[in-house]
Amino acid sequence: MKFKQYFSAVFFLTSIMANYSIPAFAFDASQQLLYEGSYAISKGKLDHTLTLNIDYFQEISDDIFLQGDLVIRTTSKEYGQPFIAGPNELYLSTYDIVENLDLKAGKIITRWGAADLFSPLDNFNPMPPGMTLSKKQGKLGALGISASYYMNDLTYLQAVLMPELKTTPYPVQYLKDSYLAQYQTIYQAQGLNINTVELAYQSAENVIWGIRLNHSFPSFDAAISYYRGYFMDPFPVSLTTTPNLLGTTLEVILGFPVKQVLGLEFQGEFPGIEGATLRGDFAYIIPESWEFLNNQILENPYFQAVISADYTTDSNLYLNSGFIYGLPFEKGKNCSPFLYLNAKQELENCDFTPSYVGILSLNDMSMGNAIGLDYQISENVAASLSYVFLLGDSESKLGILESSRGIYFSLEWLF
Amino acid sequence: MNFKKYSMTIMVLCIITISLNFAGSTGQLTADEIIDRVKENQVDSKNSKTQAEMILSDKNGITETREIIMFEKDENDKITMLMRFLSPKSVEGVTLLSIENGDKIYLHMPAYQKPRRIAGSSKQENFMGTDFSYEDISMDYQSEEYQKSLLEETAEHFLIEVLPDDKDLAYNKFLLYVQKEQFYVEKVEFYDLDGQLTKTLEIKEVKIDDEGKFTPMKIELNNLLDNHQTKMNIKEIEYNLELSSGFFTIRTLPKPSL
Repeated sequence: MKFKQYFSAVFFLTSIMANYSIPAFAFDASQQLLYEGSYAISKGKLDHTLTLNIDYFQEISDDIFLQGDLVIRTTSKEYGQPFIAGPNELYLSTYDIVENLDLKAGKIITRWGAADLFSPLDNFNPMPPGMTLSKKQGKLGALGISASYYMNDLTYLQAVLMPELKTTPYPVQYLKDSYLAQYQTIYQAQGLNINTVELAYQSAENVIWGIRLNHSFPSFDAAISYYRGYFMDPFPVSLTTTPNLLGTTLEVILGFPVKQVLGLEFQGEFPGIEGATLRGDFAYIIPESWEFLNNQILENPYFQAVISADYTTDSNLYLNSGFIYGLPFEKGKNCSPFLYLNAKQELENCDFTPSYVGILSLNDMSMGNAIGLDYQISENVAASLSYVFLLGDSESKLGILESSRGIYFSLEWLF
Repeated sequence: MNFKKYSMTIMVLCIITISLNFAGSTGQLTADEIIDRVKENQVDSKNSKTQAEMILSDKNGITETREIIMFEKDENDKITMLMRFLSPKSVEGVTLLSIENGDKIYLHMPAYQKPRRIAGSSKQENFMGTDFSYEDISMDYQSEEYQKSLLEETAEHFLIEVLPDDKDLAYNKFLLYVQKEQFYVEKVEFYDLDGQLTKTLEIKEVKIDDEGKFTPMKIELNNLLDNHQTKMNIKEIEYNLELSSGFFTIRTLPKPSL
């Protein structure tokens, strides 16, 4: 019942915005109403999500702007928050108020890395939890300040500072259920009946910061960077059990290990292949040493990388393909190699655009696939249908996608 | 005797005058001279800002309209351009920066939140569904580096052949139709590397200011291979704006208002 009420509220708000002209809001705004439906085969359940995104900016002067992105969302997904409303971004941006210096302060999104997908250098803002192939995922805003100093037209230095860590927003119940599923059987064998899980967090105490130097060369752009912060996903610190009236409570303390990243990124012409763009991100990650239940989860520094190429054929087939070493959910010695392909075919005189996204593990040949079809209904309305499936079992490298197997539909209206 | 002497003098003077007129007539101009006259008639400005409407038509007559704002500067015969789509919503905010005749091209799409550099030969891809390639937008057809020759002179036009000496270009020849009365390029024909006519660009309407300088107000680009057309209607144009030194750089790409 509640989801339907929220759904109606979002729709009602959208109607008001669509019917009243922009000047009434005293700033420039663009709106997106997005309906997403998904049928996950493993759960046998149809979920709905309705999101109203409002991108806005107000010009305070020629070089000072207030900008933001307001999100109002309701969802019927398990573990999803039934209703959220608030700014994903809200910040003041200034251009050249101090000579050659651009600033951004507030709730911001900072994106480093040249790669289109899974960049290991993109560490300031988390994504919604879970990996998806059916759509491009946006980042979640976090409090911070970004300053870019332009030494000349070709070179700039960027510094980013965030007072606190913004973590991946795993739903609490999801984490509890995960730990219960993982440890219930183990403790049962020891005669303990785990019936509840309690979570506590060790906070990340230090500020997060990074610095990046970018230069434009004749045929490519390159940057080197240093990031000091934390892993955004929670890691287990300790497990203890305490008896309760009906059984045993599993108390889990979670924390966020420190992470330093030395980065190199580039984008430019693909040597020897006319018309292709080469993009690459290399990260040397130095983690805090992290042990849990006598297992060394993080210890030695390790590499992650994404190298990709874009190319569009004469028949308007767009190809983006690459090599990944270490997906975002892989850390330390668990990093492994993958290949990916993202293809989109624009059809002549047709509003349909078929697409395919695939990712192949070179370790165990498991494969995640998303076959899709986009349809441009009108200038501002588009629909999309995709089918996600996994080749390989749930224990494989890409087994994480098993729960995503299903059909996805979306309808987008821009106004 | 005096009459004969004076008559001869007058006749010689007439012949000299007629010869001088003939020498000064447009029929004796070289291709380079014609292009120089065209350049003289162009507004001489350090930069410009144009607001325009682009209408895309496919072979079935279905049209799509986009609004753009474009800034351009010409330094040492190299054109640098910043173009942003204002509508429709699906492309609003998409911004292209082409530096020095397309030596470097960057694309900013709000959804990506970071600039993307476009590789060299992908300059030949059509820009955002229009019939203009990145190369078309950033190229200087009147470049002094290109070889030019006057092929023909008709009652209304000079027909000039331009051979770009650039193996990276998708074209091996342009034909410029220069309007004789007002000296502006009224039509351009694009020939691909196989010598096939692939596109035509026509200036349908111009505005001539008090100094005789012309500004194209309606431009039509026809893609003959795809049977697709892009029309550009200029709504407003300004010259010699006070722009910061860093305006034509990637730092301007994410700026919400230009």
